[in-house]
Amino acid sequence: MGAKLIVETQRLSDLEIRDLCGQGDRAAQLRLFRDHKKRVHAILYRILGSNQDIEDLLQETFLEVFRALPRFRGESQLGTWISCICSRVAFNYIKKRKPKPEPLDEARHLPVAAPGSDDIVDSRAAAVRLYVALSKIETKQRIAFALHVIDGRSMQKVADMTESTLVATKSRVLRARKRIAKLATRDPYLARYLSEQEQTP
Amino acid sequence: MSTFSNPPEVEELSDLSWKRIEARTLDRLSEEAMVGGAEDETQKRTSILWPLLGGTALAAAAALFVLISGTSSDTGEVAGGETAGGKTAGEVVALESLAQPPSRENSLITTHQEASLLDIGPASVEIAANSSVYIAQHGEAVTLILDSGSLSIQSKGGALIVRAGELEIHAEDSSFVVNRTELGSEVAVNQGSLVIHQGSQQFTLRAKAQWPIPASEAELAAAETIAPSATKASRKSPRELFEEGQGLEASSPRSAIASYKKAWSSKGPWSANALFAHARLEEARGNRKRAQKLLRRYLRVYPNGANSQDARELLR
Repeated sequence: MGAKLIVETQRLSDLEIRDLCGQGDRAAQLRLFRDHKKRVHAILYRILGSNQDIEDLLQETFLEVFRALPRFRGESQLGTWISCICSRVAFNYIKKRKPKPEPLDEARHLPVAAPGSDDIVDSRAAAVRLYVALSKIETKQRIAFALHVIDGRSMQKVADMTESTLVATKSRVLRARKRIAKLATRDPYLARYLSEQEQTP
Repeated sequence: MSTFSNPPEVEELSDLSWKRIEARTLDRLSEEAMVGGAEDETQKRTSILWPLLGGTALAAAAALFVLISGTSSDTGEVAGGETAGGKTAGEVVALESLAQPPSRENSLITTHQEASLLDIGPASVEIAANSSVYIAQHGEAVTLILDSGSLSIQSKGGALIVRAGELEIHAEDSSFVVNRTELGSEVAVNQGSLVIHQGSQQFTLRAKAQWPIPASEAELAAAETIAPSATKASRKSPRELFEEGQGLEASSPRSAIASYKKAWSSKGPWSANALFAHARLEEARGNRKRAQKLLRRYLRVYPNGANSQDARELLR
């Protein structure tokens, strides 16, 4: 039987990872990808919801990360820095995205009537409705709302991620809330979902 | 409402999806590096990149490779015999020697906690953690026999055969992932195409396609293999085909159906949309039976798809 050689995994600093990736070290690139893939996926999902282009966006985000890595100076944690790039990729995607073909517009296929009092709001369908509503509001407001209200990140964290001031971020969240609340007045299903989010401990 | 008390859960991606994204990202990165002249091509062809364990190349090399020559046991355990370098089987290769590419003729490579990368003959191969692969090299031809775990392969021309369970995969100039589980073998093609032999059957798998493929798609793939001219039928992406179908619905529903069919016959996120759109169009044209068959198929493949609720309503 072959003897096993055990080597302690040494934690590399963010800057060491940057340098190794810059040298084209495939193992370091893999390490960076694997260490941060869940974080990037979660951010993209929160901002965009269930999305058919998620694989392409993940790839695009990491390519942006690797391209920009030589400029990372370690002033923030690598994860935070990657999150900024991720929210930027999501922002660009929303801005550039063509409207979905009408026949398959998700909103069109969701229940129109309000659920009856005994109905349980299907969270998945409700989430789709929420993201359809979000798609109708301004991009920066949408991102701030998704990261703060849906994902529960602090305003400061959202401001850092979106490279904005705290004041601007608060203002965006506030405006997004108002807009979503207004949209919910025309969508009882969404209204009920938002109300449940308030009530659930 | 301050923040959501019960936010929608993030839909997890499958391991295969992650492997595909990882392979595509790193492939693209390599391409960009090559264009930028950032890589020494010669070194790239001959070097082995070892897992990043210790932060130094030497420590990284200690990824528990055990290289032996001769035959290996079915379970991936180290078998008797000597390595090409004359070392006793099972002996740990000295760290210093790992700086040089070891002889890979008839070698068994077993990874443990970390994945490993190596260039071998016509391919770059990433062996996932906890994988075991037997490598047989005869001149230019290389055969990889995946005993367990997963491989991400970028073949660069030349004959490369990968065996995983009952599958035999022939690759040339393609990028793909092979995963062997207790339930069987899975293949995902990132770039290029593969020919897969399963028993007496032969299938062609194109970029973005996966194995196993649904029955009807398997028929299509097999048909493509039988009629090579058909393989050149369409190079449009599923999304383009879907959009083409959308545009043709009013003027030429038959053509629209053909486009949808091509779109849903390939793998990918637009496949679901195309399948539903095909069903909806058949329904609109009064082909109720055909529509129902397609809707049932949609629900079977995408039970929680964006149009699943409508599919159920249309079936009622």
